[in-house]
Amino acid sequence: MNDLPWLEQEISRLIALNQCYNISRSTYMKQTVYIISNCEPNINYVPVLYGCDGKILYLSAEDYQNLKFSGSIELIWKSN
Amino acid sequence: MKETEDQRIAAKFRQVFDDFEDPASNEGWLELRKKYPEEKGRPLFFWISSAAAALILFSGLWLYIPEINQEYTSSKISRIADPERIKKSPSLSKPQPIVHAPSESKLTKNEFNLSLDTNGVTNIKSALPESENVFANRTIDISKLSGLSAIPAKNSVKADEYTLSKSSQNTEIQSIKPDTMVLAIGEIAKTDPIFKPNTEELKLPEEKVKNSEKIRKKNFSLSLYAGSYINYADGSENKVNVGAGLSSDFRISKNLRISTGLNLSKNSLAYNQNEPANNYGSFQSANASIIGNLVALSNYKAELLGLDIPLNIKYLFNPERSSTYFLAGLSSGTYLSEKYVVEQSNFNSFAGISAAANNQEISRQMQDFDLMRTLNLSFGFNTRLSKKQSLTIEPFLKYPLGGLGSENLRFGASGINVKLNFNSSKKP
Repeated sequence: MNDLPWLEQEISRLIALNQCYNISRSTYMKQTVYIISNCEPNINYVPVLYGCDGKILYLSAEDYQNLKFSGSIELIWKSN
Repeated sequence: MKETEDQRIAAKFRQVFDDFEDPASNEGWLELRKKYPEEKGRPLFFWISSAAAALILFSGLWLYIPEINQEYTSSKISRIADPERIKKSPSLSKPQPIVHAPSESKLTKNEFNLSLDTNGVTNIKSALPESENVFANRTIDISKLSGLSAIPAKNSVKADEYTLSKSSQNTEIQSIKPDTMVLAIGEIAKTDPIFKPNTEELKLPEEKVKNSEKIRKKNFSLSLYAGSYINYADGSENKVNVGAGLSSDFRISKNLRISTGLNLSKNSLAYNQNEPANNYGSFQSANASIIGNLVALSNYKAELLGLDIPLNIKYLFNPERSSTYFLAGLSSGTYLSEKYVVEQSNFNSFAGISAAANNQEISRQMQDFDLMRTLNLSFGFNTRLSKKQSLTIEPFLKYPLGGLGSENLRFGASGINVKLNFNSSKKP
C-alpha cells in the first residue's frame, strides 16, 4: 500500500467522509484491481474498481451484472 | 379338224384371260398400302441400335483379342524355355537369339544363311523366293538389334554354324515359326541374347485383377495409434492426457498422402487462480445480484472428451522407404462430454469477509461441432516390424485456431503418438 501513493490519498479521502468503507484486492480481467465498497447497511452502493495505476475501471451495467473476480478477494483496508 | 377347232377355242379363251386385267385388285392393293404406308427409310432407332451393337462387338473383340495374344505368347515362351525341348533340339541346345519377324513367313520352310563381314555386319541371304523373302538384298546390323551383338568374322566361328537348315531336328523351330525366327549363334549366347517378354504382357487377366487390387491397397493404409500428450492453454496448468484412434492414408501422389481418421482424446485444464481466456464462459453466479456481494472464482477446471476428425496432408520425404514424413492439416470435431467445474467464493463487502468456497458444475454432451479449428503439425519416424506392419513414432502439436467446445476455451496439445501401421504392400 505504501508503494501506491494514489491509494494512500484515496484512503485519506474516505476517512474524511466519515462513512463505512472498505478496500479489497482481487484480479479482474487478468489484472490486479482494488475494489472500494461502501459498507453502510442503508446505502446501495456499487463497488468501484481501480487499477494499480489509480485509474477507475469503468464497467457497463452488463459487466456489473456478471462481475466475476478471479482467485480470491482480499480485504486490505476498512474504515472504523 | 374338230381338235383344231377345240384348240382354237381354247386358244381364244387363253388369250382372253391372258389379256384380262382386274382393276379391282389394284384398288385393293392401294387400300392395303393406305393401311400400311410405305416406310420412307429405316427408323433412327434402327441405326442407333446398329451402331451400339457394332460398338459392343468391336469393344468386346478389342478386349478379347489381347487376352488371346497374351495366352499365345506365354505358351510360346514356355515352350522356348522348356529345358527338355532345348535338350532334344541340338540347334537349341545353346542359348539362341530370337528375332521376331515382321510377319508370318515361310522362313522355316526354307534355308537361309547368315554370314558376318569384317565390319561386324551380318548379311542374311535367304533361299526364299524373291516375293516371299523379306530379307532379300538387305543387310541387317545385328548390333542395332536389342539384346544382340554382332561377332566379327575374324572369330573362329564357321559360317556353317550360322546356318539353319530344314531338317527333322528343327521341328521345334517349325512349331514356333508363325512369327519367330531363331538364329543359332553360339558366341552371342554369352550376352544373354534371349529377348525377355514383357512381364506385364504375359500376365493373365486374373493376375491383372490381383495387381489392380494390390495397387488399390497400396493407395490406402490403415493405422491404429495411441498417444500421450500435454494439454496447454494460457493460464492453465499443463495436464498430461492420453488419446487413441485410427487413421487412414490415401495416396494422392508419389510424396503426398491425405491422412484422415477418428481420434478419441481426453483433454483437461485447470486454471487455479488464473482467469481463463473465455472469462469463465457462460458461468454466472447466483449470488452476483445480491447487494454488497462480490463473486470470486478461485478455480476453473475443464475436462473434455473429444472426438476429433483430422484432415491432414502428409508429405513423405522418401516415398520409397517412407521412413520420415511431415504432416499438416486441420481438425474438426465435437466433444462427447464436457465438464466445467467452477470453484467460487462470495465476498461480503459489508462485513469485509469471504464466505466458504463452493463448487458449481456445468456438464454438456456433444453441444458444438468445431469445424477446422485446430491446426495439426507433426513429424513421423517409421520403423518396419514385419512385411505388412510398421511402427511410427509421431511427435505432434495441436494448435487452437479458435475457441473450442461449448465454452470456447482455447487449448492445444503436444505429445507423441505411437502408430501401428497395417500395410498391404512393402511400402507403408
